[in-house]
Amino acid sequence: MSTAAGLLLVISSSISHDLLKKTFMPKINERQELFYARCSAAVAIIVAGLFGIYPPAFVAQVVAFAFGLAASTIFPALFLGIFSKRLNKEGAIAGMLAGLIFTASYIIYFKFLFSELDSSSYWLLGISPEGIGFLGMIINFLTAIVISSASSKPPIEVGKMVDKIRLP
Amino acid sequence: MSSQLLTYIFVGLSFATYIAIAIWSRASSTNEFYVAGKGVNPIANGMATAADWMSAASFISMAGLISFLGKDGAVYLMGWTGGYVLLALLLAPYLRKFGQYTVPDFIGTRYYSKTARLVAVLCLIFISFTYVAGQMRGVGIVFSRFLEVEIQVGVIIGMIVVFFYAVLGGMKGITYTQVAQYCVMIFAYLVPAIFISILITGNPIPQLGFGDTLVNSSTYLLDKLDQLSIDLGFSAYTENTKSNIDIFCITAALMFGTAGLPHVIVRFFTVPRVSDARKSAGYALVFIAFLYTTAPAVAAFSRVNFIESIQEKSYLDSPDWFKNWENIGLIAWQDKNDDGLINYSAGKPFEGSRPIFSDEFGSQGQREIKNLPTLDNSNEVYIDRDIMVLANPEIAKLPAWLWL
Amino acid sequence: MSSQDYWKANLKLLSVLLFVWFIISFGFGIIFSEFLDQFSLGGFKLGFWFAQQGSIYGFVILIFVYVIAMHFLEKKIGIKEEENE
Repeated sequence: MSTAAGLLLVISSSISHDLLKKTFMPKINERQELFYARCSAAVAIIVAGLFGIYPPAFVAQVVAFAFGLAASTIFPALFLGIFSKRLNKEGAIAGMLAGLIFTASYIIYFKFLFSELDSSSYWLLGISPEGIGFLGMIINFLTAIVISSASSKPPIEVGKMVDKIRLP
Repeated sequence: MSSQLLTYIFVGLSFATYIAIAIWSRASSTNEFYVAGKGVNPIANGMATAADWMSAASFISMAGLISFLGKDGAVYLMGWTGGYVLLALLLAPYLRKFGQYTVPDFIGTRYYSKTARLVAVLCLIFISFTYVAGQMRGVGIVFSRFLEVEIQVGVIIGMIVVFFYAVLGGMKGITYTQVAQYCVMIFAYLVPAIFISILITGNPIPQLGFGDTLVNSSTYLLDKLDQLSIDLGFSAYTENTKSNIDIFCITAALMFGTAGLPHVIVRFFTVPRVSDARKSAGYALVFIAFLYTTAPAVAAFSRVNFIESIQEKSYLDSPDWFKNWENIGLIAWQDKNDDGLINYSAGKPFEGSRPIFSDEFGSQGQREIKNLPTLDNSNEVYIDRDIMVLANPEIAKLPAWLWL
Repeated sequence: MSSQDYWKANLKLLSVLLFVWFIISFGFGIIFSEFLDQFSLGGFKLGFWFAQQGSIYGFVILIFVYVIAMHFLEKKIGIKEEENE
């Protein structure tokens, strides 16, 4: 249950902070933002509860799915954002989407659409859906780097920001 | 006092504590709601991270999973700990220095693009909802089993409690309830683990008992377990069955996934300084390691217990948990050779993937099943894939309220 | 020591630690695990011990080595952090 609470909090903050405050409703003040954060937490709990009552698949499969997606989308974007100054927005967006689409389709194919084929003789390079996130991550890295080097450099302020976060 | 009443009292008291903490620490600004005002002590944050980490999937289920998988179980042990090294070395300090509230915040700013922020939000919601769906189900199953209510009711009870401390307290409330939860959980896990270790190997430290000899014998526990597994037609407990490339990729996906999970990363936004983010990841891993080095030991102990308590025992003398889970339908026993004894070995016990129970009872009182028995092996026991996960506390004699 | 030297020293430290991280988990726990199984550590086969116990102890040590090394590095460059920036 401790985990559920933590997960619901990141969902609600990304809705109230990233979607509302930073993108669609930049004019709201802090009290309103806090109010929306609480509302979205409440909505997220209800949705999560519905998932709990009508589960889409086995618990273990679903959790493996989450890790694979995190490895193939968020990790490379954060890592490259800190350790490379050259990576630009085109590269990062293309990388995340490539990782997401590749990993999600592989898992959906073997776990939900054709679960009877889910055995080592059909897997790509002998990698099970639980481990495919690693390959997805490599695809994300390659896509991001190739697309970045083929398009324009990021603005100078970004380089300054990266320099700043590298110092404690 | 009955154990049912004890369970109610225990559950009631813990919930009252959690809700009290949530009210005491309720958030009054977005800074407090999102990142607990960036004032959490690194040790407390380490505990909260550990509690956050020990979800239904990795807490009790861990030992059950490993005792089924043997050496292959190492993918979860390494995969769910090694990511903290990546977090401490590659991400946490820099993201803390960046100093915003969410993961998409960093991506949106670093890549100077609203689109990048939205893609990150999309990924985050996708990841978190798949993860939380599993969690709520787990919470529901636990409540239903131990408060004896329907799974749906269990899920709703869970929703109400989470509502209190997430909506009222935000990150601040969650952090301090998690610190309390960590203390309860680790105590509740280690005490019985120490007892089983003493019982089976005479060594009070499970991590050492794991590699020790059995009581009154000069055979090592793991050698005995290898022998038992081979005798029953399984592969040796200490050998891999998956291919190396698959083990490699699963471990890597879990490690890098850990480092990319938004709800874990955000925990490192709550400490006061950059150096605290590094320290905090270290403390978190220490607290997690208490459990993750104990779990494989408990797995081995309970595997021995499991085999020895049912193999060639008469059904009438089988342990309570065997009959309880048979009633729920996750265990089935078909007396193929009519000897009244439970014969457990590798192989499918009957045709079809799940047992189809009739309403009849067999000569020993077991639930009859309609599936045709398989003839190529002598295994008579059907064990649902989830059983070791769910029944492990009973097999290993761990208290049931651990999951809460 | 300039901030560029600081970053270079940090990268060097990171590569060493991540190399150890890789060896104790993916190396000893997976790739060379079967080879190491011919040696034993008490009642454990060595490869099995690395896979289910040793790698985790190693991870904990690695993080604290990094914490301490960075503490000295930051002292050298003379950085004093402020809270709640």
